[in-house]
Amino acid sequence: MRIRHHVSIAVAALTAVGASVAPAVAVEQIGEQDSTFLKAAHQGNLAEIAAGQDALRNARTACVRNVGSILIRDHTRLDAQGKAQADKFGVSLPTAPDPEQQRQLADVRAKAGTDAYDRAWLRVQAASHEKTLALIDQEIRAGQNPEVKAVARAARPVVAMHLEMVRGGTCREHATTTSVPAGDGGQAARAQAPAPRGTAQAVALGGGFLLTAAGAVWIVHARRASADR
Amino acid sequence: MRGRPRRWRGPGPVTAGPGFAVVLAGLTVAVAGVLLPVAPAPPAGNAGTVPGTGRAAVPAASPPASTAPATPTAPPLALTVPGRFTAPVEAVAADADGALRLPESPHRLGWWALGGTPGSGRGTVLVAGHVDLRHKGPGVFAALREVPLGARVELVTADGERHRYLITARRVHRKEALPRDLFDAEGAARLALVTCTGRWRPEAGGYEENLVLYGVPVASRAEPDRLRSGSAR
Repeated sequence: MRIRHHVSIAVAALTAVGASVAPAVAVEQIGEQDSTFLKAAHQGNLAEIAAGQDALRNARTACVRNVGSILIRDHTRLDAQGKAQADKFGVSLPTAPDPEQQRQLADVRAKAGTDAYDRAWLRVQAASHEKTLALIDQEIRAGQNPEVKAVARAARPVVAMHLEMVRGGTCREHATTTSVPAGDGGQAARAQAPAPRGTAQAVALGGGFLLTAAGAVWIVHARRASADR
Repeated sequence: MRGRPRRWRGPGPVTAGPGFAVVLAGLTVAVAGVLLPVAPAPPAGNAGTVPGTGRAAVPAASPPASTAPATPTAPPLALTVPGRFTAPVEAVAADADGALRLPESPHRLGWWALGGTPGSGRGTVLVAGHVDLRHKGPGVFAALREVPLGARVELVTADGERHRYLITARRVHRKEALPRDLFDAEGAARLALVTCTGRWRPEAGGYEENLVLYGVPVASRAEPDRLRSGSAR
């Protein structure tokens, strides 16, 4: 009786230990590169959101304000994707942009109220987006974890789109996404020609009529020929 | 020595038998043309009820403060319509004119990177593909016009999950009049598959219309197992 009691306690203890160990074993592999990417991407997102907010306050031109609001909207979304990955893999994220990013924003901010603000803002944005693309490409190239790499790949076209808006320090407004041009070859249009059923029916009816007529002529001719004999 | 040429009296005695056979054949062909089913024309035109976004009007530029953004799930990697096709999916964004930039290959699909992600419970997951391309031929989404309401669609995401949808509606829109709410990351969860269709006018840049198939998420058979094992999500 006592032995059975000890055994059942041992089994319970082992089960408890096993249950606490199991989740740790289930966590996927995340490498140094992935971890570095998630942290740097988060800081980049924070820096872009801060720059966008500053543009809404201090930009002179509507174009720069427009780009600013797009940066806030898109980097908030990209950051949510990155944070979800960081949470999943237990990566603790920094709480602010890196010192260089903070210095750059401060320099731009110092020009608020002057004509030089917009140009300075655009130049900083062009450089930081080039840097972010390089960061993303590094993760795509050297990342270990497929989910983190997928998040990097998903961010790439968005960051590339932002870069187009500020490349070379020139502001280019982008329209809201509203259209999907999805084809220019014309092959589908040709394949969608009149209903095949109609054509097949016409051919069958016409052909059938001709055969019937030919057969009738044959019968008449044969009857006449035998009557002549 | 030349004999008188014999008068040709025809090919010999002709019986009526073969003639009846020909008449029978002719009647059979004609009747077959009327009765035999030809492959049914693919479904065309609008059908079904579009799953709404649950938003009253066109969303404002920034989401209302009271609505928490959806927790994003992993990006899609491949789309399958069982029994028809499977194709790889990559993230895409728009150009300066707001036109989605699809992959260069007609065999790859584009998922709008700023839209909904599968399984997040929110937003429109927008996946588009070329119906065809000059010099490259028909695309994988040329088959979209054959996909009927009630068809299943499956998206595999980067975390290995499979997300299933049921196609519930088809719409054809003029390209300039694509519903704005297709580009929505925060509304009700739904799938939108988009390609081109309609008249092709190369002088005007391509096709005149977009074909959109809408789908709603459906529970996969695997889900109850996951819930039972108690894995946190």
